[in-house]
Amino acid sequence: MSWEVWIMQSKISFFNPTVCKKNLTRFWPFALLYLVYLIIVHPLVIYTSFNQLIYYSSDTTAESLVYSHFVDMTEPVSIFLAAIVMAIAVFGYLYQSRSANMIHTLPVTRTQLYVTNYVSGLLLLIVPQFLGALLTNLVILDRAADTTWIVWGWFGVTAGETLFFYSFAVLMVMFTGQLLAAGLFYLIWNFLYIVTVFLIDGMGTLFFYGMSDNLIGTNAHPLFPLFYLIRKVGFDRNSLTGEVWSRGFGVLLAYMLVGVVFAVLAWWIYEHRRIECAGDFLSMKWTAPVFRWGVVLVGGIGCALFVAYIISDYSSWNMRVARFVIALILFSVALFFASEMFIEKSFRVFHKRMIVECVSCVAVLLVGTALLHFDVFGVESYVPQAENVAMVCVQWEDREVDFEDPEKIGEVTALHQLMVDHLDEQKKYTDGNGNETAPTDGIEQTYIGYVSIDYTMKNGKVVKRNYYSTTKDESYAEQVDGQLQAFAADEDGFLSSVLGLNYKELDWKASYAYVSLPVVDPNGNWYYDDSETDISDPGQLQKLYEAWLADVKAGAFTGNDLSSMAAELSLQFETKADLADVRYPSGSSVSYRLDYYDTNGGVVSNSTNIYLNDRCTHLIQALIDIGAVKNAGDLNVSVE
Amino acid sequence: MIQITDVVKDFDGFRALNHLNMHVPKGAIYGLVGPNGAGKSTIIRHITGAYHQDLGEIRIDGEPVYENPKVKEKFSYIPDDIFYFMQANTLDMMKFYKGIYKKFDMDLFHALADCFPAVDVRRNIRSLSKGMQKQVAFWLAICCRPELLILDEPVDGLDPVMRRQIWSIIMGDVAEHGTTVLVSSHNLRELEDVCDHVGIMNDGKILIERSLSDLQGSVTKVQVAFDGEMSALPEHIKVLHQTIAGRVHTLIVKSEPQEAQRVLAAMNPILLDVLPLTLEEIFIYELGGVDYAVKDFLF
Repeated sequence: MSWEVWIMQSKISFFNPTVCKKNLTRFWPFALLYLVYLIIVHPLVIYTSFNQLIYYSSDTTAESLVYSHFVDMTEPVSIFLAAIVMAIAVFGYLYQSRSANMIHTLPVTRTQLYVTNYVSGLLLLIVPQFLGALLTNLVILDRAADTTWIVWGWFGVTAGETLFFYSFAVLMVMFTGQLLAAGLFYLIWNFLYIVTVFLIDGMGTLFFYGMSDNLIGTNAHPLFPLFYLIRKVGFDRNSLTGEVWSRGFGVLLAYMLVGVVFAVLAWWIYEHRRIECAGDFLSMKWTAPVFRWGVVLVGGIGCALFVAYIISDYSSWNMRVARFVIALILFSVALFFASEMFIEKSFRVFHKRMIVECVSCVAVLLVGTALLHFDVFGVESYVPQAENVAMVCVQWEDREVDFEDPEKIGEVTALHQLMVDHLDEQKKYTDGNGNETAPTDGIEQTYIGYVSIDYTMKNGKVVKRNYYSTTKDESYAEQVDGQLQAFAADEDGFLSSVLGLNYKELDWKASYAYVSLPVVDPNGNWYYDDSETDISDPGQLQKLYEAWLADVKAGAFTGNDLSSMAAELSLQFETKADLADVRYPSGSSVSYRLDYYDTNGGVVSNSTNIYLNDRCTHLIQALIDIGAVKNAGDLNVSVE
Repeated sequence: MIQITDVVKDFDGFRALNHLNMHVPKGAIYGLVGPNGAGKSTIIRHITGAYHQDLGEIRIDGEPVYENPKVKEKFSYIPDDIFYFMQANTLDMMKFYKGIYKKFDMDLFHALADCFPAVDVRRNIRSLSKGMQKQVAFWLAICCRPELLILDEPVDGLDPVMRRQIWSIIMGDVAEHGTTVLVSSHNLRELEDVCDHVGIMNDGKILIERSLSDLQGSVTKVQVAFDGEMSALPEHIKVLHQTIAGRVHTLIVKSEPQEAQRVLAAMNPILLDVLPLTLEEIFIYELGGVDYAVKDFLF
């Protein structure tokens, strides 16, 4: 019995073999193109690299090449594009009234049409991926047979991501009535989160002193699936051991479930979709106000921020806000009617109801702007209560200290309060980004610089502030500078910023080091040479580690570095622990230095670069003692 | 066959179908006539199940048509603007319809090939002329063995030879299988020779719906002349229209032809002729005081 007959025999069928066959026979060129792309980027690239293996370093093997290939891949980008193309192809008949009318007069239910088109589109994406994996498998079978698992792992990941992006694309196709709108919405919804984050950051910078450079979305976020999937799902490789493992299975599963939800939602919309909407911008008329207001909110604010910042004339903070408000009104009105023109497919949209709605929309935005400008919610003046803070990270210039001692946290909040108390002065004399505006009274301004404070609250929330300060109040400048110097001299705060707040509980030891020595070439140009200064002897490493601790204790790193081309010591540490065992506050540089490899029960590694200066007496002596340098002169730490 | 009851459809505040009622008897050839914008294509898209009405009911053979494949199996639909898949030729479309319609008759498809000698079945249909595309549509539609054939402006834009050929195919199918036909047109003359039922549509409503025999039996045109003045007609003979040229009266009366002839003959005329009425004339007198725009399209 053929599969077509078997399916047709089902009393309640959700699938129509003829429609599926029609899709497969009409759209196979898309699948073929996708397969060609996959063949080029996977089996062909791997095959080529196998042939060039002799040109790689001696420790590079065929296996390591295959692993590197799949660890570095960014497959979601191609899936992202292929998914929308395929969704538009198989459901494209909905975009023309004559095709939509013809298909829906056939003796096939909408559910059958939806399921069949959805499945056939998905097949046309997944089959090329399967064939791509199969060909890759054949290519590596001869020279790196042990790595076939990663090829099929890649196929699993790719198929899962395809389910998500394709369902997402189908949902967008159902929401819209034309090709342009489907593509636009797909793009908008995929990037809405990151755009919103940039807008919030821009608004924060514009309206609140201390909120600049405060991007909350620079790290991958689930609402930005394209980037999040690249970062969180795939394969990792330990650079030391060469071990490879898959990551993000749970994340992938979650996205697949969301994909299923999207697919069901898209089916529901199809069931309720008006066929007469073919060619319309939106298939559901009730979404029109949401679209108009959304365009105004995101587009209006975005364009107004662009205008507010594009003119780099060092105008004052308040002048910049005024510029923002004027641009906001103009762009909001323009975008409101432009979006309505898209919806109505007509330029004749200036009727009373639309004008009233536009005025309401702009009024809401202006009220929101006023609330921000006058800091009605107290964001700008907010300083956390010290007792509510669990940890804090303070960064300024190229320095950092991390604290969890309540007394030290109190000192940080006091410094924060001091800076907030001078808020009006900042708004008057700076543009919010540390740029001084022209002094109006002839009094010289003192530039305090950049101070960043990251609080990790006891309830898990994070409060982040960045201050670019300049002042005409000398005593204020001295107070801030004095407090920062005191922080810099705090041995515990400094070590916490390198090894974690609980560094005393962790048995850190130096695992590797090398010195980059400043050298002058025959033309008199300085450069760093680290070719012959690798240090891996445990005894020598221990000596360096102890010398570094002694220099920290002696305050060798509290002052400013004097020589711009002094030697640099790269010191790597490791401790037997899990990543979660190392405690550090939000914003701490420890977080991005940590590495984990699961050998001998779990080892966490870390590293720091130490710019040597003439106060690092212990380290200098230790480097001479272990033979890394002949004399202190090689380190170029003395200043003429 | 088709029963439409009180159907309403609005498009963005515009009422396209306004409490429309319509009945197409089984085996009838029903002509749906109306000016452009009357709502003919809209009601046809509802009958074919593409659109869903806001209010009211549409039934074919007693069953609702929307999302009902069992009912949709019974009809073939040829729209004014026919759609074929990109790159598809007649054979591709035949295979598609064969898969969709269980009753698709392959023998008939091959048999009808002689009726469409000009159609190259291996050529992309979209590259064929409009007339050829219509021929392919009829070919495929008839092969689906429909009980109901729904045609929206079927011969619009075709030359007279092609029109005759298309009508001949439809009539052949009706004669052979008793197929019910619903055909729309904005030109009543086009339908006069083929329809046995006619519905006139304007502003989203059916203004009048009659069988041709009813119509032809209810209105009579007579030319009559008397020696002197013509006396008044009995009350049961209603005069819809009257013109006088010399002593010759031309009357349009609401009566059967035999009855009109009997009554007038009893009045001793010197001339009495009962003349045939065209469908257009019948409608214009039936509609009486209805919007003049409707009369315009009839003539």
